[in-house]
Amino acid sequence: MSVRPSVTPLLRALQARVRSNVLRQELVDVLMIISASGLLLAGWNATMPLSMGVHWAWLLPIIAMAGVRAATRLRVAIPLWKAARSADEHDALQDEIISAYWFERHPHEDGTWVDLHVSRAQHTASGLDPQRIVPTKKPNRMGAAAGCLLGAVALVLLPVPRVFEPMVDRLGELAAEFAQPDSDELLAELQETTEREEDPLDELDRQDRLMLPEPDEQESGGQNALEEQEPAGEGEEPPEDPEGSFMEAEEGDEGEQEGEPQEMQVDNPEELPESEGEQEPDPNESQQDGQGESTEESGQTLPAGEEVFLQQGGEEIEQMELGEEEVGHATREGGEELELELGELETLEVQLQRELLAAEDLPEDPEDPAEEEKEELVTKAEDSRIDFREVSRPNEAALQDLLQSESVPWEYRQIVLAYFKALRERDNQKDEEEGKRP
Amino acid sequence: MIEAEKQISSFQDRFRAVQNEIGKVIVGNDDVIEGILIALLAGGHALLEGVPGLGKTKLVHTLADVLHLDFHRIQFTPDLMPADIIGTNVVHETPDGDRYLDFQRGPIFAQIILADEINRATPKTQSALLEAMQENSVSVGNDTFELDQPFLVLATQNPLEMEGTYPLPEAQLDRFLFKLKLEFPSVDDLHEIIDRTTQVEAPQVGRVLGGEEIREMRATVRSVPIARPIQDYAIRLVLATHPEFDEAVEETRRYVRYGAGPRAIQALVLAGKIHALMDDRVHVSADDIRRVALPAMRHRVLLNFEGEADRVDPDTILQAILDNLPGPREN
Repeated sequence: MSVRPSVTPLLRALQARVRSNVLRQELVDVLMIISASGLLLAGWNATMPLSMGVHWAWLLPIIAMAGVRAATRLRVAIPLWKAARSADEHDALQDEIISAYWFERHPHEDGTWVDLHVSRAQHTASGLDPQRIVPTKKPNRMGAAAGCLLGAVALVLLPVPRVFEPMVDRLGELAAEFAQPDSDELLAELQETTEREEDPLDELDRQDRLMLPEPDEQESGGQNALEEQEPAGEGEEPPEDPEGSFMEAEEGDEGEQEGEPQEMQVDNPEELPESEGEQEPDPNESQQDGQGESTEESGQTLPAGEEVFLQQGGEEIEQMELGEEEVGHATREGGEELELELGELETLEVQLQRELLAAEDLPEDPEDPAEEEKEELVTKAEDSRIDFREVSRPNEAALQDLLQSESVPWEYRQIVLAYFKALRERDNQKDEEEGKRP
Repeated sequence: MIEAEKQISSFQDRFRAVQNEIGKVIVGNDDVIEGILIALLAGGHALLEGVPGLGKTKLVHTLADVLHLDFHRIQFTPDLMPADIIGTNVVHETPDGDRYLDFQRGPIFAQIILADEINRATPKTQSALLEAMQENSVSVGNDTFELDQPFLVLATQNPLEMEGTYPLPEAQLDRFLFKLKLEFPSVDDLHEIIDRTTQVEAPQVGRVLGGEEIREMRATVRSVPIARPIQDYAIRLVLATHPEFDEAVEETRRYVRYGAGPRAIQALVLAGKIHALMDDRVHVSADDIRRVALPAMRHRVLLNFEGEADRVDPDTILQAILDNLPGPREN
């Protein structure tokens, strides 16, 4: 029994040597990649502290990628015929090994001459030194890998001044400031833009519809406003419109605005005489034409189809024409002269607050007797007196929602803006008053 | 395997013996001598090209003297007819007065044929050699005559005196295993030539090889195995002479009209095997193929009009192919 000659052992040895060289090179490459990443991370951490999460989030993907790269390289097959060709070229064997290897893989090419050839090739292969054909290669980039590793260790161990930390903190502050825009500036810019594009005379009817509440709400809201306005509005006499069709409310200076209503309100006409008797006219704030029509901040009576000018803070913000259709709720059946009583702004404020409260109560069970009793108690106790400071926040949100919603036309935004601005200014006034009280 | 070893050893001894004997008369041109022997042992024919006076005819005469083979020389002229080569039927008359046709064999019925200045004969006459060179037989009328083996045609042609010549057709050229170019001898070789031919005694050669030994050597050549990667290399080498194949180089695409055929691959492999045996190897290497690529393919590459106009030497194209073609690859 004879053993068939073969050159495969030589080729396997050459293959193993090539693979070991590749393995060494890959180890060095992986070490260099990880060391370089660690060096960068250590340098970063030395100048600006990083959390461990950042460390792992940085290093883990790099380690994973380096591992995948090394595995991919090592999985690349090193064909034996390439090893055979390498041996032939190295020792100028005139394709003896590669021919013998081919004949080994194709036994059907058997014969005396083939056996002679393979045996000769095996003899030749036994005299070859695999280490000489595929010498042990010193991996490339060893110096770079060692340098990166030493640098990373040095940065970790040696104290390095964190010179970039103040700068990074300052950058963070600047970024925070930049990310938070000044809402007052935006609102002022929006208001200014709206004033330029606004044509109040053409859109009075719509403004009136937007500013004035519904008839039912006017009655209820007006009563509440009167009750609420009593402490602040006493002594004020609503000025009469000289022509009975125009009302112009003006505010003189800052001091005169104190205690005065800032918003328009439609009040109950039946309560108007009482308020008229209690209030004294302020020539600086309102003008009367002396025709028996009363115009005041807390309860104004306007004829339908006339124009109404409102000026707040010395700035004319709106001019509206009240048509008969728009103020139909104020028309009496007997054909009497139509009057539209505008209550104070607090009425709308309270109405809005009530709507908000009602909306909050909607999801709850309306038939819950305990809740109903509690609500009645709260209603009686509070009696629609609500601190304006609590209302201001929802108003701000409502203002932003209204201005940013597509349903509000651009020309009406000025009106909405003025309305909420009036609310804000009065909140400020009230805050100041409460601050002055002991 | 011992028998194979003996055959290899015997082959090498005989080959070198012929080389040495020829070398006693012919000075220089060792590659040409080796090429002629390779053509003989591969069962092919050789076309010798060189200017007059370089010893082409002398070389063939010497080879015939060294080999114990029948030798005929045919001087090709424009008025040479095919019957002058092949032979003809001659009317004979018996003593009884009967007449009969008897085929009178021509000079082609020999083992070594020297077709001197073959390009001076007409293509019709040149074509008379086609069957003999390829089929090793001659057909006259209804009769076919086998030629004795080994049969070797050595044709010569002069590349300079082209007036009144008839270039060999492609089919005729393809029958030649090698086209060998005789170079002008060097100064030392010229001294040697003068010394040998101007003395009282001319050098003599002995017959060292007979027909039987040559047939044995031919069998030995064909026993040499060749691995598929090497054979694939030879095929790619031939394909690279065709401009339409991917292996073609820039020179091929520009100057070649038609490349070498399958006979070129046969020539490459057989000649490579002889080179391997002479190198004491039992396998063919890519170097063996490369060494015989020029003589085996230079006459099989047909130039296009641009190549003819630029007087491109086919050897230049083949050398470019050899330089650019990748080595053996896994198959």
